[in-house]
Amino acid sequence: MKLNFFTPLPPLATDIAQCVSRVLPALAARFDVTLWTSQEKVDKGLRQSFRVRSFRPDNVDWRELNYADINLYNIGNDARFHAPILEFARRYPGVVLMHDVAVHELIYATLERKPLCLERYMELLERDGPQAVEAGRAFLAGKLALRDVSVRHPLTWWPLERAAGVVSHNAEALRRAVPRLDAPLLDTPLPWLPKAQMQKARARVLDAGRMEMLVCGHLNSPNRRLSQLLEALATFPLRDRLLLHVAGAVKDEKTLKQKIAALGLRSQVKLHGYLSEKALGRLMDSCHMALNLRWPSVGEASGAQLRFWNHSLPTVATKTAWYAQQPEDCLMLVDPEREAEDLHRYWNLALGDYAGVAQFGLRGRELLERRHSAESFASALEAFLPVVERYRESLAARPLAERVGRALGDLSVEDANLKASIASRFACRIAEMSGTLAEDGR
Amino acid sequence: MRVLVLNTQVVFTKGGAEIHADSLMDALSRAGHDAELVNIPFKWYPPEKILDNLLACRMLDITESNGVPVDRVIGLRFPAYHIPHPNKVLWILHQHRTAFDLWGKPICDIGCFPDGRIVRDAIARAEKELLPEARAIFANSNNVAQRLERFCGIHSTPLYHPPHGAELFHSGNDDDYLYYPSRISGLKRQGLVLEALARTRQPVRVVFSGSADNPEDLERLKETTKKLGLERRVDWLGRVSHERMLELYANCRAVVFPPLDEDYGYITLEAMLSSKPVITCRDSGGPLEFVRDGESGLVAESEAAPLAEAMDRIWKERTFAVQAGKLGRSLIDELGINWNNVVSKLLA
Repeated sequence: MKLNFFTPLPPLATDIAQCVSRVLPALAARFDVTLWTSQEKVDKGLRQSFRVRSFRPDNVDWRELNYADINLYNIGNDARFHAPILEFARRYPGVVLMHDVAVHELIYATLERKPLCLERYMELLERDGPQAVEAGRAFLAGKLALRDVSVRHPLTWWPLERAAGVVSHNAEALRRAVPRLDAPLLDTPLPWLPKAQMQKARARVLDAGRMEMLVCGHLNSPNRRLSQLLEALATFPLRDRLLLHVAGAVKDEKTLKQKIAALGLRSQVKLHGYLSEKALGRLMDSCHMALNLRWPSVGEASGAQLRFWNHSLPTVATKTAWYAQQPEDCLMLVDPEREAEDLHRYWNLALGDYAGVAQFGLRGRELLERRHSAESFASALEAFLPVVERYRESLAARPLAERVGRALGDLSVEDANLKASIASRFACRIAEMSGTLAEDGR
Repeated sequence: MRVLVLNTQVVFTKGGAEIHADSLMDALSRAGHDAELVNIPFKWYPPEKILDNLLACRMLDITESNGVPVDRVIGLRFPAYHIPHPNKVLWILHQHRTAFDLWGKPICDIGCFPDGRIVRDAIARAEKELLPEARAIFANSNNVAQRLERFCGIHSTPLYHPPHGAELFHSGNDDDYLYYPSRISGLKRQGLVLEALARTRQPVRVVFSGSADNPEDLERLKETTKKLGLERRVDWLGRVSHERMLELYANCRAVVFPPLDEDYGYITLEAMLSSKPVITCRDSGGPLEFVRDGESGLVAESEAAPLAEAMDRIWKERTFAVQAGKLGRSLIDELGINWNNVVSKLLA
């Protein structure tokens, strides 16, 4: 079976790219894989092991897509990596792998690169409803942050309009966001390391009663709560026993440093900037606790969380979306309404009984091995294929109905009943052709 | 019986399918039925037009005319055979082949369009949903029946018919040319015959007749003829009269007919009726149901070298060619392919 996989690839600094490289061997065992990317540089090792092709949405040999059994689109929320893939998913039906439920920011950033950006953006919001239009106007007027608009109006439906199938690691949230999703949905956990690459599970102890904590990833977005985290740390009575490592991209380091100084946290916070995979792995091994806060959540399934579990690192996360659905003994969850209070509670608990807290990391690690293997992802995708094929047979029905609608419009039939009767007969015939006619003939 | 025969017509094109429909009409009339031919014009590009055509067919009502019921409908080709009728029998010449056996092949046009895949899938679904509406399904050859089974899981019965004017085919001289009568089209692979001819060691000559689907195809073939230095060994006659065609069959050394997966292939039967051996290819489909390799003709791999070898052999071994032709004639006589049988099956 031929699989075209449209995805960011290493060395791009994104969890999705790292995740892909790890799941590829399992996919290659089941599919004849071709990787499609718009990035210029791709890891040499990947090029040696897989067929890697470049694509531009405006220049495609359609035979390459038509003759594949499955075209898989990796959609995350970062336009730098996913904008061309999003454009493609809108144009050619395939299986859309949704890493985030809210993709409003991705869509805006994608449209921003195009002519008539604002017109297209507003047209899109009109389709979402009057409240989306209002929120979009507020954003454009600088009165509302895009992230806040995204949480209220996630626009999840937009990449899925021509989908032949959807894969989500957070299916419940996706169903809530798109209640009338026509395409079949595969709910499968995010794939992670092959067993051979997994870290050894290890129990940690505190050294001299001092606890080191880690926050990492793309920290620019306000929903990563870095600012609130620092404030909570500043008000924690035993803060001298804590050290917070900040690893990852921070847009305005100067302002961050000023804030750290103003809060009196120079001895409690260490900024690392962007770290290599290896260096980040070492830091995860040496720390005692990870802080993985998201509020509001955009419905993502956290690759970073799986990485923490791979290192048996106990983690504090926000009680929301995907995190709230994880077994409760694998994460320490904070209520976003009582964020600082809950953080203090977990820090006190760890400083008092770290052995108990360490168990969260070990149980998370067990969960990772059980549910998040590359093999289980690849085999779920393989089993999903016949469902996608069956659904794809009905995909032409909608554009056919639209053409009929236009043709009926051209006839200028004024009698509404007659018009409805003709339209109904066409609809019935289209349903027959596409195998979607109900037994009662509707 | 009031019978309607449903066919699809690519306007300004005439080939086996049109002859087939005309012959069926004659046979129905001879059997005393009130028969009429309904031709649906068909355009297949861009691919969504195929579905528009199909839907248009589905919207037609041919159950009665002027208040008098139509007793039986015989559907021959996609999408015309999907016009609804409660007493419909299908005698399938072929499905829309680029959605099935030709999908992914170089000749497949719909694969080059962005909506090619979903149109192809929609055609496949429509066939599975709508073909079973018919009270009986026949295929015009075993090859077509196998494709229906393979791609749609639908069983059909092969029902052979004689070529148009079968009684007029006869044997004449054994002149120095091979004959290839067919539409000029990529699927018929006249180009392959030219490549093979360029590799023959004997002074083989080939006479081609038939009109081109697209005049540019014929021009390209003529250019190839020139490029390969074959001008004195190839004749392009274009469309010829039926009488002229009968003479060309009657007097050739053999018939060469190497199409890609032909549905049925009148040419095989016409050659056999003319007592001529047939050179065909292993992937030629329909002809393989009739040609016995090394007995009534030769079956070669579909490459220039083996096809050239077969052409050389027929050219060199005149006695074998004559005997193979005679055997072909007796085989076709034994099969008892006639219109009475066809009409009684379709109207049962």
